[in-house]
Amino acid sequence: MALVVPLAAGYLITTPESLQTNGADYLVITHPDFTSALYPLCALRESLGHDVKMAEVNLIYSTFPTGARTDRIRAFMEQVYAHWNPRPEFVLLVGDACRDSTHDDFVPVKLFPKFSYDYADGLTEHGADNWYATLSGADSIPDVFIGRLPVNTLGDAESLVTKIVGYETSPDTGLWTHTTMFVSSDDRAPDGVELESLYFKPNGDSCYVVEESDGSSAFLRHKTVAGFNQGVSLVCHSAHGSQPPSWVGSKTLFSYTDVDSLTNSGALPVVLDRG
Amino acid sequence: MSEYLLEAPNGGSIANVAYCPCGVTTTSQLLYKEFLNTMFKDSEHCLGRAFFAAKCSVIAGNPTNDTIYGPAVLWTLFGDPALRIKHHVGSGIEENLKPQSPGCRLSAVPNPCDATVRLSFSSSQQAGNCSRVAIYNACGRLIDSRAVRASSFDLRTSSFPAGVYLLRLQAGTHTTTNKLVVHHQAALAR
Repeated sequence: MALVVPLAAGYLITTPESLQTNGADYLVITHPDFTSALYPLCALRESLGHDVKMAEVNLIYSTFPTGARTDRIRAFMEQVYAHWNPRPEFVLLVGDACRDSTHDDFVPVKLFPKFSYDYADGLTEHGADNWYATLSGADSIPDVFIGRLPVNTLGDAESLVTKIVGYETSPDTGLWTHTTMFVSSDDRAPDGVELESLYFKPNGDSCYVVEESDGSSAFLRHKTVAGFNQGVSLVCHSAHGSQPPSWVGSKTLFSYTDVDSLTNSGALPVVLDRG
Repeated sequence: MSEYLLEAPNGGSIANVAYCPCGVTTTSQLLYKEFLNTMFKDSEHCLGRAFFAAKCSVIAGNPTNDTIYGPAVLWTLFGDPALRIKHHVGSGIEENLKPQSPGCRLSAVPNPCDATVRLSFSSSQQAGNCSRVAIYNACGRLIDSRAVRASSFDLRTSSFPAGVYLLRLQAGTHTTTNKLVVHHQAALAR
């Protein structure tokens, strides 16, 4: 389905007053570097019945001038939740967050002291988009559905939007929509077996399983790549995460360097990533 | 890994749900099961709704144990929350999910209800085990939670906004859930 984006689609909020009082059930908060890439996604959501608005962070920062940038975005979200009609059900942040100087901090994430459990590598704090979504009450339960496209360049944004629009507008056919891949380290394999027996086998799904005991790291990485490339609609990762980015047990099951070997553009999975 | 998969030029993933920075095994399995339960049992294909139903359930169900709710808070969606997941859900899954907690039963009558609903329980666990029923709204917010000291009690729902609620019974080591629909006749009459 080709999406025609009107030149004056009216998605982008351009005045402080329109940040204060407006209405949308699908809200995009973006760094201005990526705005131009997002119109096809806005048009898709509108074609599916959503009221869509898009707000750039620089206008948010100037309209809500108190505190750190995270506080200003939070103040905007509180305003939206209290005064927009309709208020958003879905919020999409567009732009990566970075807490050091290795990348630009396009849409920052709030940092908190760590919870009581031990993090790998002795981390002492965490960042969570959940904070932008907890707008009612004093709990940690989100009140809007929030997600992030962690892009760093306009090209990344255009590519990811093209992926999403293509995914949503292509037919729901093919064996891949009945297929799930499990990638498990030896110590986590029982978790995958439980999910498989509880949900996927009764649903008649094909289950493609990569377990650490299958072979060497080279074999496991090859098998995981093959799983992606044969086409799956869900990936359940039940191993461990590591740096540089990889899925590991005592062997490596998949590495970020393997991503270049993926050719599954017509069968993109949702990945439940434990690492 | 999430960013690499999302931005893979010739494939990769359409969305990733991941911890920021890292998770805990027990919570992972809870979140996975709640996510898949929402997706398969409720036929919910909206990624954001399935994701947040899992988060809300785990956070609300473990409010004093940050080893459990902490990782759930950190569970982050890298992708569009309005995405519709393309995974075929057939008819065989419902029957499989029903006996997930054979040790306890929870019923709500009438359902849908108006001003009052009778919640009835049975459990194979020994009497004296701590049993508790919790009621969550559709966003996973805890509405009510109370100890169960009888095989049934009447819950007043006249003040509940019309909608779908989740009932969760914990009896010893067993848990079971049930849906409750509240609609108010007076509102319908108007």
